[in-house]
Amino acid sequence: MTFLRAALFFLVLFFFLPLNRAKACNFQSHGNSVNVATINGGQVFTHFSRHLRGQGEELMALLGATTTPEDYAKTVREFFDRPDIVQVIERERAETAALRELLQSQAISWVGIEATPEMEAYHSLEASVAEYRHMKQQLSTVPNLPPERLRDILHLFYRSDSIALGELAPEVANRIRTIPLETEEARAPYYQAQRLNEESFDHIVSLAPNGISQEQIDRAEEVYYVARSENRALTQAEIDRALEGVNPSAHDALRAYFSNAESYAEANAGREQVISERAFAQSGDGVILMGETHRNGVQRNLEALCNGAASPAPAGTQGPDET
Amino acid sequence: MVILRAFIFILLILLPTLGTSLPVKNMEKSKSQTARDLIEFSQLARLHSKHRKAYINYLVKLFSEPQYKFLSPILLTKNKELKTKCHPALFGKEIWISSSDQNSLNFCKKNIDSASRYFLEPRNQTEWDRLRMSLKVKCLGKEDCIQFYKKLSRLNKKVIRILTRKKK
Repeated sequence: MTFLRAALFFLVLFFFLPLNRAKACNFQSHGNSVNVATINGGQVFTHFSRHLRGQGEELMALLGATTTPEDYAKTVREFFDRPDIVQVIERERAETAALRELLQSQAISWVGIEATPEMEAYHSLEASVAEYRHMKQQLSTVPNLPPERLRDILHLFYRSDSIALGELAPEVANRIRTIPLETEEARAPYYQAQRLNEESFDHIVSLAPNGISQEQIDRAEEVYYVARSENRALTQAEIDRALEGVNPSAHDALRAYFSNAESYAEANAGREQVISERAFAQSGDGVILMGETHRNGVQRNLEALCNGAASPAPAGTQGPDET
Repeated sequence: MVILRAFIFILLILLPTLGTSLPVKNMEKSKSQTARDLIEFSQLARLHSKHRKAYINYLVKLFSEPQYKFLSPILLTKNKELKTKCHPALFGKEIWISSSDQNSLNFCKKNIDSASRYFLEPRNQTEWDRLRMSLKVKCLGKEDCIQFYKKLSRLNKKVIRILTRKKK
């Protein structure tokens, strides 16, 4: 009888264990920028957003000389009539609308963000949302600035998550916890890469103008940041192109600078592993908000975790973390 | 002969600027910026870290001057802990709050180092642009900002001189 009971127990365990953790999460598309999976019985959405690049700077350069509210409104109007800016604003609006709809329509109880609890204590998403609201209020005092243009300006200066959360009704916003999904330990290589980046960039700047021209630095920066945004090392062809025409005395400095892209990619891989593990440990319906750079890494890790193929989480990273 | 002389004369005048000056568009931007704005993010990022730190450090001091306290609402992080704890991950904009605490110079230094790195990253450009936008909106049509802008303008001119010098 004891044997029968034991056999029954193991049989039950056999059937239920895989269902508990190792079940595939079945990632599906949920609109343009959102995917959804079932993790630990809750629905987990992923939302990856693009970073704005320089459009705000252009507007600020134009506004630099404005001294009166009338000039300000006119400059803003002309700027936002430009087709390229119209396109960027439409993209940002769509991204924000998708996220806001998600936060309103689903029973979201947490949003996981690209930060450590320490960082969040100083520079919280909540503070960013408050800043958004403050800026909105400030802009509303500018005469002759229509509400539509006011919204456009905000889309150029705030990420979709800050705007979406900032536009939520208080009762909806209050039910959502912000969870920093990173750890300082996992972020350390990233900080190191930042330091190396600064040092190697300084070295290049110090070689100008004889060893390298400003145009060559700009070209090098562009190719470097493209690789960084794609989370990868530079290809040999990219390096060769960037070195073309550059005085050979600056080649080593440029190569050292380019090698940072690889350090960043490695550092990001570590961060993404921890982000995924901590997101996977949450319960209830939630949204993972990340920059586009982390899309592949985080989704791949989550899928691996869903399939039970992940390594155990590093010490101190298990369990939900509330702020 | 006269035409040739005139041609050489014009050429000699133009020569120092050919291939060395910033594009016209940038020059116009720079000129306007020195008046009522912080420098552009791309200019900040292009500086050697010692100059970038110096610029940020000056802003820290400027914002902490009592007569410019009216600008404090543009500095939106008000976490008191910033004055007592230093963290390498701090985002650049928070340094301006800590600077008012004269007892935490080391803290400020670390934060300025951090800010310097932070503002080298293109992805953080919106932070800088937001600061500029806040400043612009706050000071729009306000007399109070004139002195502030004068000081800022002198600082910006220095930065632009550094950037332009590098091109010669």
